[in-house]
Amino acid sequence: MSTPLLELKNISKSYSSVRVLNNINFSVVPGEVRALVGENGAGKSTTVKIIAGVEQPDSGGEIYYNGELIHKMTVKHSLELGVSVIYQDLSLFPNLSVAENIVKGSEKKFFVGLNTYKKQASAVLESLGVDIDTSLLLSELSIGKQQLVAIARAMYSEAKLIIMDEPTSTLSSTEVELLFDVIARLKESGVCIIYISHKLDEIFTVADSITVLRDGEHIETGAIDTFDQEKLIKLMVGRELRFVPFHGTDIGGSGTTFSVNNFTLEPYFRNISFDVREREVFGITGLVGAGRSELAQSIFGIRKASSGEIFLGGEKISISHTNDAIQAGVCYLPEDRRTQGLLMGQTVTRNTTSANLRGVSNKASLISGQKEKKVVEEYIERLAIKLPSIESHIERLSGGNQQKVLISRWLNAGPRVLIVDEPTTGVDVGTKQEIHRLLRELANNGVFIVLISSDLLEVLAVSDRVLVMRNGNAADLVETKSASQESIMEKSLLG
Amino acid sequence: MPRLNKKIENLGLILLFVVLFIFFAFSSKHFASLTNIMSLFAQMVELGFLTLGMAVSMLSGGMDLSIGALGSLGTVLLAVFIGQKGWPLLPAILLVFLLMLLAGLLNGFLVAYLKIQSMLATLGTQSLFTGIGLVISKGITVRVPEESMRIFGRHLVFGVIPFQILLFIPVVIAVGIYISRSISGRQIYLVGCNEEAARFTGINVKRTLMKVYLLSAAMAFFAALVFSSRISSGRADVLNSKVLETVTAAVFGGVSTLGGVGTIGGAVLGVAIITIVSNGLDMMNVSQFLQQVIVGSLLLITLALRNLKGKTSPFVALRNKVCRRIQ
Ligand SMILES: Nc1ncnc2c1ncn2[C@@H]1O[C@H](COP(=O)(O)OP(=O)(O)OP(=O)(O)O)[C@@H](O)[C@H]1O
Ligand SMILES: [Mg+2]
Repeated sequence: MSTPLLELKNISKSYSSVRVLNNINFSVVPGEVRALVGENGAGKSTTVKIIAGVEQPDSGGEIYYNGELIHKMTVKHSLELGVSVIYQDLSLFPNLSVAENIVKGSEKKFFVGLNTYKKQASAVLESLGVDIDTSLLLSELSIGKQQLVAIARAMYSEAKLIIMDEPTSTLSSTEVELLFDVIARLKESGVCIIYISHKLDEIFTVADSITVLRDGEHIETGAIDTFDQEKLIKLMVGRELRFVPFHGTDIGGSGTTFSVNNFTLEPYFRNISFDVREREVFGITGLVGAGRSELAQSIFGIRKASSGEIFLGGEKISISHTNDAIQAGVCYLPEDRRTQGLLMGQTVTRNTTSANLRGVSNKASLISGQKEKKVVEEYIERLAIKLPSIESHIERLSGGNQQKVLISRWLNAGPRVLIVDEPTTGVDVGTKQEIHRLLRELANNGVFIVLISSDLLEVLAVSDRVLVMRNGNAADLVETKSASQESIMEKSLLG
Repeated sequence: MPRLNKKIENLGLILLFVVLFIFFAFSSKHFASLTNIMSLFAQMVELGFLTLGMAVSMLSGGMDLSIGALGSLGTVLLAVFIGQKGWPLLPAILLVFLLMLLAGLLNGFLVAYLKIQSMLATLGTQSLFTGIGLVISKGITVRVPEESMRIFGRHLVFGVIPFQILLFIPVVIAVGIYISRSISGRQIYLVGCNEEAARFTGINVKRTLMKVYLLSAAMAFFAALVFSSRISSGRADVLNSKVLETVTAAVFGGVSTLGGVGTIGGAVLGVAIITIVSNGLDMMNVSQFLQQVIVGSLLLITLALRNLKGKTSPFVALRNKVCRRIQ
């Protein structure tokens, strides 16, 4: 074993009086891919923030880098040491070219011409085995490509430790493969990677070793071959988790449906029609860019479709604004949590009740603090949301718990139709199953559920029928009972 | 926790007010006289109405820079209708109110429907409203000699309490309840926090913004009413210079320039502090010019302190840190 690149000793972290990390000890060596796993709120992101110097640990903890004790890790210091964190779309400049994004800030000379930028940037990208035109603006790239640019940037600045916090949550499957190739190359060149994800299959593909956190405690660290899925889940959750398949629900035949007819909005999608039957979870899948979210947003009144009709329980409803949609009971959990979901800087309470303020108002149409509190506490219990307090700002919650708050928002709106767009992004395995169960339960209670997801296993596990979209067209409609992952994959690619 | 913090923050403002009061009371022997205290409150009212409007527009994520100009236009209209044309008081006031709401609709339309940035839109209408006022008044001060008009700004109830205070208090309470408890009020906060997310949660952003600019126009109307009564005249730019003070007062009271954060109570306390400072400095014979320097500095210092205190979300702070290093 070589000397550890980074070693954490007795790292704890408290916010006011709440301890979120308790005596964390682990180390990583060069050329290692270490998966950091744990439930939502286990303390993964907090650990990363401490390594990156964004947050300071409580006194008593020590951070060693290359065997040397770091007295106070600051952001500047960690960057100088070669620690680089890939946050999604966070540390890049959308209005600059790819080349500038890679080179700027670490250039060795003061005056550098654009051509030099391009040459150097291309060299880095080539070494990663990635083909991206360096003169494009960053904003012209897909999120996946942007992430690769962020990695190239880290490489250019000679990063020794690259931390990726849920890097694949918005990537298409081809982009994920590309990312894994890049990780393999990084490994070869001796870079250490700390990889955070809730997707266990990814972890078993890419990691050499795993560190498990639970409730801020270090549970176990070991080589990948000492784990299997079942054991890993047990370590994360602290108990056995049983997966119950949902198949075989009887689809009601009473005739009430939620139907979408001939929805068209160029260039996103055209002539999309589907019926959701009573007690059915209806899946929509397809590759990223197939027009699924745009379709859902048109139904929800974000951008009006150029043609198409919606029927709910036999009655035609017209939606020209999200407000109309909610009045009609059509609700939508958006895919992009950061910009379309969360109300940053507002409390958990306000984030929960925002879609149904009337429901927490008294007779005089004034919002009642007590009613709000009751509603929020009910959902915290029902979805097991971990949070400092209901008056905390939403950004204080871990990613997965933020997602649960958004789900509560829509449950609280009393949906008749609930369209969920990638509802389990950033959500841990146990919670993922809870959300699946919840969707099923809602469907059984008469809510029409539309599940949009790129996760084929999810689609197959929860929905009864799946609409496969490709390039804005309805490619196929399949019964999940008779479908396999491969067959759906094929349809979304070829039709 | 944040609720507790807010209370403490307002407590700090109250303490500051008391300290300033004691300080000025010792520095100038006129300051603590009953007449000066009453005139202090009366001064507070004009700035107070305007600040209410400004604070609400700031909560919604904008900044109504036209509020002073609209108030000035209001004084001109009142003076022309009542003083020059001699119309009866009530219909004239009502007409002015409606005209000013119309101006608010214009602001709202520009911001909500044409999606012009609030500050730019209202910078434009600021000039527009002042211009209209100048045309109507032919650029001069229009007098309102009418005795009946004096009630709003020069009448002392029971011989001591300025009438405008009795007008101000219910309006503050109404706006306070509207903002903190009503559904529309909550929606104003959420729109100010993140317009896109607000739309995705079913809020009609356009309608909400229309309400905001209507409300700020209504506040400009009250300011105009009191002011034109107090100085018995109207002029097309009398209240324009108050805009800076309204922003200072609101920010001082904890209203964020980024939207979604702040309270009406805080803003009113901000007004109290700004007013006591300028009144106290008057009493100490500090020149108006120097006072301008002081108010400007106060705004900058408050803004700087707020940023230092790390009021931004960890998410933003993190990005700032990363970006600073990169550049
Ligand atoms: N600023 C803060 N104030 C108070 N508590 C905080 C703050 N930031 C994080 N926490 C708490 O720390 C705990 C750990 O959060 P962290 O973000 O590290 O979780 P995570 O393991 O990354 O979870 P996820 O998988 O959901 O992203 C959470 O319970 C969270 O509420
Ligand atoms: Mg996290």
